[in-house]
Order: sequence, then C-alpha cells, then structure tokens
Amino acid sequence: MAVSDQQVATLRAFLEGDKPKYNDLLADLDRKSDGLGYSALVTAAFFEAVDRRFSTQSPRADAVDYVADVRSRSANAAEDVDPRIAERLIREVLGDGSTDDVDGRTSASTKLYLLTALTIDADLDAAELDQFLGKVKKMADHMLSRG
Amino acid sequence: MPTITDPQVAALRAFLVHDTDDIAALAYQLGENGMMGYVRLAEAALAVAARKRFAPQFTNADLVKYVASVRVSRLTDGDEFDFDPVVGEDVLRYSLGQNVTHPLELEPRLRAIIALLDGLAETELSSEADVDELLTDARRIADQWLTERKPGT
Repeated sequence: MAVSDQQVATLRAFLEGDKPKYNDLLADLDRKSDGLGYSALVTAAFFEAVDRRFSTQSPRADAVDYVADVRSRSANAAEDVDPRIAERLIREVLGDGSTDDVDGRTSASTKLYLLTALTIDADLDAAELDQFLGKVKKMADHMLSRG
Repeated sequence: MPTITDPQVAALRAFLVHDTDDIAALAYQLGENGMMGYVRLAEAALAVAARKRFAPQFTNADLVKYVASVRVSRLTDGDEFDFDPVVGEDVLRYSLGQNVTHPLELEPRLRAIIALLDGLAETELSSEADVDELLTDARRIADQWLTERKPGT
C-alpha cells in the first residue's frame, strides 16, 4: 500500500487552509481504503513539521511554550486543545515519551490542530509546500511498507 | 470556629520569602490539623497575588501563557516540579473569581497552588512590606472562607 495522490491533495488543501476544497476531498476519501494511508500521511507531516520547528535541547519546555502559544491564538483554542496531550505528542516526536495510551481520535485531532499552527508558522510558499508534501509522502510510504 | 493561626502565617511567610531553613520545620509543626488552614491561607494568598497581577482586565490567553511560563521556569529545576496545565489554569481562574467547571482533585490542585503562588511571589512581592500586606489580606480572606465553610472544601 502507498499514499495516493488524492490523499496528498487532501492534506495539501488542509495545509493551505482551503476549507471547502479540503472538505470535498476528505468526503471523497474512502474510510476503509484511504484511512490507513491518510492517517500515515498526517502522522508523517506532523513528525516532519515538529522536527523542523523544535530543537531537542529542551523538548519539554519547548513543547509547553509552543502549545501555550497555540492555545492563546483564539478564544476556542484553549478549550479545543488539551495541553497535556498536545505537549506529549510533540515530545514523542522529539524522542521523549510515548502517546500509546492516547485514543486515536484525540491524537488525530490534536495533531491536525498543531499541524495547522506549525504550517502557518513555517509560512511555506508553494514550492516549499510541494517539497514538504513530497518528503512526508515518502515518509508515509515508508511507514506503510513497514506495516 | 477555626481561624488562621500565627504559625500558619509564619509558615506561608517562610515559603513566600524562600526561607528554606524554616519552611520545612514550620510546616511540620503545623501538623495534620493545621494543614487545612495553611492550604486555605495559601489559596487566599494566591487569590490576592493573582488579582494584583491580572486585575482588572485579563484574557484567557493571558492565563494560558502565564501558567506555561511558570511551568517552564520550574522545569529548569526538574520535571518533578511541573504541574498539570489544565488544573493550573482552573486554579488561576478560580482565584480570579471565575467559574471552574472541571472537578479539581486535591493533590494536583495543591501542586498548582504552590507553584503559581511561588511564581507570583517572585514577580509581585518586591519587599517585606508587600509580603506583610499580602499575608494580612490573605489571612482576612481565609478567615472569612473558614467561617463561611467555602463550598467544595
């Protein structure tokens, strides 16, 4: 199994903040056949975005600071993002701890929230977004090939 | 009717001024019976210090960022000095007179109260007179709470 172009297009629309297009593309994904590939793609994108943003010098303090910053950006953000989960997801990418006990739905929604913030902060132009998506597609394909 | 005692005030003063030689001994002398009043006094002190820092106007973002900043400063001493951010934000909101919907368990609540009070003392209390004033106000409020049997305690 490999990540499909449609799955990449869906994540691209999400990262570009094109909500109508994202909703259309997401609705076209088949829950059964696309679920695993799209989930791997989002996980890879989150991993890469965190890896680019954070140093591993002080992962805990950096994660606390960043999550507070994200949760301070809008009235609902503080309620929508559980800081304990968000910090752990970031730290896990940085090699500090695990989130195996976090349920899949919470993990996915928190990753998407953080991924949005990380992408906005990275301020990628079209070419950089292409490069980012190309890299995370390869990472996701690799994850899928290893089962 | 229980009221705040001088030893409870002395123990909190030692904590606020980082009198490390006396903190443990004074807290120990309070015993189990004196601890509840001491916690009430610490909570009242947090309410006074939090208002001093944040009143009259603050946003939710201010509280989120403040709790994070206290946690980050404590992390330099070790992960064991960290506290739950959700509990910390709720404790701060409650101290500022806002409603808190999540139930707060005693142990994480105490950790957050102590950490936030320590952080606020650092920035809001610059002299002995500030400490005295805070303790006087906190004692009055805590006495009032003890008299009214504050809900949830």
